[in-house]
Parts: sequence; C-alpha cells; structure tokens
Amino acid sequence: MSETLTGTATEAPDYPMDRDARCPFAPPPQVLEMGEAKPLSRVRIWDGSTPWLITGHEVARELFADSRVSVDDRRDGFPHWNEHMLSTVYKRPRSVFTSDAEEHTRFRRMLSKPFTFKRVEGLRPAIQQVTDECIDAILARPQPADIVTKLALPVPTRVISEMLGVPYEDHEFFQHHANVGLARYASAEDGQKGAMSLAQYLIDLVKTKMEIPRGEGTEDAVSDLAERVNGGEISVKEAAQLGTGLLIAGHETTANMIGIGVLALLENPEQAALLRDSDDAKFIANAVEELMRYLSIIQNGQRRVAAEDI
Amino acid sequence: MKVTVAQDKCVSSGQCVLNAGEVFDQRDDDGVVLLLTDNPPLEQAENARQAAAACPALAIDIEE
Repeated sequence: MSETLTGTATEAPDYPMDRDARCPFAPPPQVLEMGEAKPLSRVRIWDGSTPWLITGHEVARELFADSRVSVDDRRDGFPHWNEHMLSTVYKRPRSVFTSDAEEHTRFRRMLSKPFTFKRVEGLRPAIQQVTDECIDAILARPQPADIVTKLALPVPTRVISEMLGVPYEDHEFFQHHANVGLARYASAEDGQKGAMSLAQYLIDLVKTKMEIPRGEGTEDAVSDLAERVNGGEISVKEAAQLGTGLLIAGHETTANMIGIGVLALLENPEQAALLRDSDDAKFIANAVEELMRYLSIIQNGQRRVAAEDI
Repeated sequence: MKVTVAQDKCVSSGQCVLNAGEVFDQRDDDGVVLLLTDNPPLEQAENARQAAAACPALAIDIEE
C-alpha cells in the first residue's frame, strides 16, 4: 500500500461526500464509483489528513477482524470525526467505543444487562404506550404534523430515558448537546462546552444513583453502572462516559431510523401497504431489519487506525 | 444435531434467543449466551440453525 501513499494523497477527494438529492437513500455517487474502482481509496478529511476509505465488503470484513486494526482513538493517526473529538481525546475516559479486544469485551458486558432479549421484549408494552400517546397527540391537533418532532424523536428519547433512568424532563438538554458534538465541523470550543456539561450531568446522575439502595425502581442502566462504581469495578468518570454513549447512541440512531424509515415507506406505498395489512410479527420484524440494512443510518461508517503496517 | 457455543466470542446480541428460545438463553447479568440443550429435538433444529446463522459473532457451532 505504501507506494501509492504519496501519489494519491494530493488528489484525494474531500470526505464525507454529499448524497445525490434525487436519490437520498443511496450512498453518495462518488463513493459508489470509488467502490467499483478499488476496495480502498485515499480521502481527505476535515483536518487535511488523508486516511483510507474502505468501500470493499470483503476487505472491510477482513480488516474489522484483524487484530492489528484498532479503535483506540488515542493512537497517532486516528481519523477523528471533528476537531472537538480530537481536542477532548485525553479528557474522555476509555469506553466501549474506544477500546480493543478484552478491554472492549469487559466494557461491553457491563452494558449488556438492559439489552438482553427478555429485557427488551419486556419493554414492549411501555414502547407501545409511548408510541400510542405520540400518535394520539398528532391526531388530536391540526394536520399535517412534523413526524420528526412529534414521533421519531420523542419515542426513542422517552424509551432510552426510561432504560437509563435519566429524567425525561432533561431531554432537551441532552439532545442539544448530543447534536452539537456530532456535527462534522464542530469546533473544539463548541463541542467542548456541550461535552463537558453532558459529562458533568452524567457524573452527577451516577453519583445520585450510587446513594440509592438497589431494589424497586432501580432497574435501569445508570443504576447498574453506579453499582459497578460502588463495587470498585470502574470509576465514576468511566461510568458517566459509558452512560453518555448509551444516551447518544440510544436516541439519535433510532430517531433517524424512524424518520427516514417512514420516508422510505411513503416512497414505496406498495411496501407500506404490505406492512400495514400484515399481522405477522416475524414479517414485520424482517421488514425492520431490511429497512435498517437499506437505510444504513450511520452512513459514514466506523473509523479505525492501523496499529502496525498491514 | 450437536450444538456448541463459545461464550468468549459472544457479544450478547440476543439473536439466538430471538430465533431459538428453547435452545438458547442469556445470562441476566451480561447477556452472554447460555446453552439450554446441546441436542435439540427435530422441531427446534431449524430455529437453532437460524440462530447460528444470525449470530453476529459466529459464536454458535452446529454439527449435523
């Protein structure tokens, strides 16, 4: 790979690229062209560096499974998402998103308790109720309504608030800070203000939960993390970092999925009709899986750094 | 049919319980796979195969 390094770096196209407005669900045309030409290409990101963009399925799978490839964002050359993420890299404790191998597994298992099949299945009545309330509220007011603010955002936000034990009244606060930190050109200053107040919020919440004896009303993910802090497994800061990850990943992704999922069905009314007329839970679950594959809401993919030459 | 699971590979996605709840379960504390039977009856065999195919960590092995 090294012989092409200098040759292509000068002409590397900017990344991420814009999608074609006429075909909003497809990856950007330039990415598709690059993928047809070769499985790896240099691209230029916000800081002027030129990491490899992997577009080949086989190559991507191989690299994800390669132990020389790391997700540790403190390594030199890691392609940070924006200036904010780079500037806070040493302030953020390592978490499930930035650790490799055994350390990753340890963090991951700490977060798995609320996501077992039985626990998620047990949420069904509560999710149904939240969804019904949102739809009733839309129907009770003049039409048309904004499906993003009235359904796509409040449903996952209320559900993740309940799962984490975060007061729903605080949703505007954490939604705002989550959005600031994720923007492509978030400056160090903008992002830091948001990240620091969100981190402090979670630290305070973990500390509050540490004081509450386990029992009725403490079946939530932040209480689980607080218990691990009490047990000496992790620090308050680590617990807050893991909680922040769940909070952001838990509502942004689902909200975007609901919003563009509805749009995809509106553009394919025959598919929407098949779903509307079906009582088969497996058929509907399969359609949801297919929508997640088709829409791929994390469109710009996962970032890694090579820990040694490959 | 002989089913084996690799708990060290398991990523707690729960796809096994979703596909074959009579054959697999998850530990309450961390969601790691538990094998309820390593020799499922014929009527559960297809579900067990689907569970193995759906496992994102390839942690389920099936010998026919």
